[in-house]
Amino acid sequence: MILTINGRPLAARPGETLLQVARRAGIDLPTLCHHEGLEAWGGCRLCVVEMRRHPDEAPKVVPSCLQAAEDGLRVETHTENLLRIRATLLDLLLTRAPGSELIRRLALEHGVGDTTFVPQAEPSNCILCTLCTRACAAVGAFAISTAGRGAEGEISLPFVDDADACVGCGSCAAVCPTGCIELKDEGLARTIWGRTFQRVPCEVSGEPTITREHAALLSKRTGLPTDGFFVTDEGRRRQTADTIAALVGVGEGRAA
Amino acid sequence: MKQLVVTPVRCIGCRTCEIACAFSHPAGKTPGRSRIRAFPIRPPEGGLPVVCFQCDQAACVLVCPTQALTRNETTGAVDYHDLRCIHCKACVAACPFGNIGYDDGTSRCFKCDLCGGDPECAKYCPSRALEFA
Repeated sequence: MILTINGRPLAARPGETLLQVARRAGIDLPTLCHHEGLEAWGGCRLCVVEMRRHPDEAPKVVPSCLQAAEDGLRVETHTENLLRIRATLLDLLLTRAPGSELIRRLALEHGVGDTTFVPQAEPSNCILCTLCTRACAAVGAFAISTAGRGAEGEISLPFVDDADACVGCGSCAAVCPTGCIELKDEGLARTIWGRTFQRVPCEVSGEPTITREHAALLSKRTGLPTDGFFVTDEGRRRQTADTIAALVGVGEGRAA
Repeated sequence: MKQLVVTPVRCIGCRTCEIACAFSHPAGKTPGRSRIRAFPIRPPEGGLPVVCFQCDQAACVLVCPTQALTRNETTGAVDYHDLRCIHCKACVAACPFGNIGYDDGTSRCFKCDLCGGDPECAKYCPSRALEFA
């Protein structure tokens, strides 16, 4: 199927979203809540585009991350109206997350230096994009979710402080666009969401691998043995080399 | 479909494959992030090449929660898609052979992708321990 983005005819595969088609064509659309590996959410609305099914129709503003590509669509990504919408959104986001470099940079790119709204008294830098909760759900832990509503909305553990379901994989912190999830690795210890995990030391090198809780979850999901997760890649390669040496009977073993 | 065939007894442990790999994957920049490793062994002088087997039933693909590791039907390799990765590192823990790693510098996993269907390591291997056939 063929659609037009900014006057350029582009081919789209069935099931693709407008955002995917645009990005594949090298069109720069800002996003904060989008991740290719996670379910589309449409939360940040920075990826809005104007679309028309018929040339004489009034353009409709839709989030491109949720809008499926259709044959014959006419899409605009950078009209004056869209730039104004994005600038307003970023202006509002600055009240929540003034400490986020990414949001400051995006805001500047849209001509917004400081927020024109009343800044939040205690900004948290969390913009409720839910990338962390979606990553947590994908991992299968379901340890965090959104809580509260309106101005009091936040990402939270069940009953505020129950971190029992967390496995300490660190995915939430890795996908967070504003870097507001605290993860501290010190030696084997990993602290996240107020809970300290012990990462299992590698059988070969002693370096930290994953947590016992993460391994148990992976094992439950896939049927792989729980105790098979505790070797680093480099240690594993050494073991593989030793196995090959024994199998083919070369040399007297690895030199180092 | 061609495969990367490894014949360990032919390996002389020169580690040219590691350099070829590092140069053809500039994101890693260093032989330390090479997707192939040739371990030198005691006499008779030689080496033991270890590289991704592109398993049919790959543990890395099985544990990945976001389909960031998928089979490339053209090359037969298990390909890594960084945009889909949520950095849980389950694949690194799950690979029974250590053939996928995580680079904290680039925040990406690295594994053999058969160079998109034309592996450089095989081209530079002087003793035909690595062949693409």
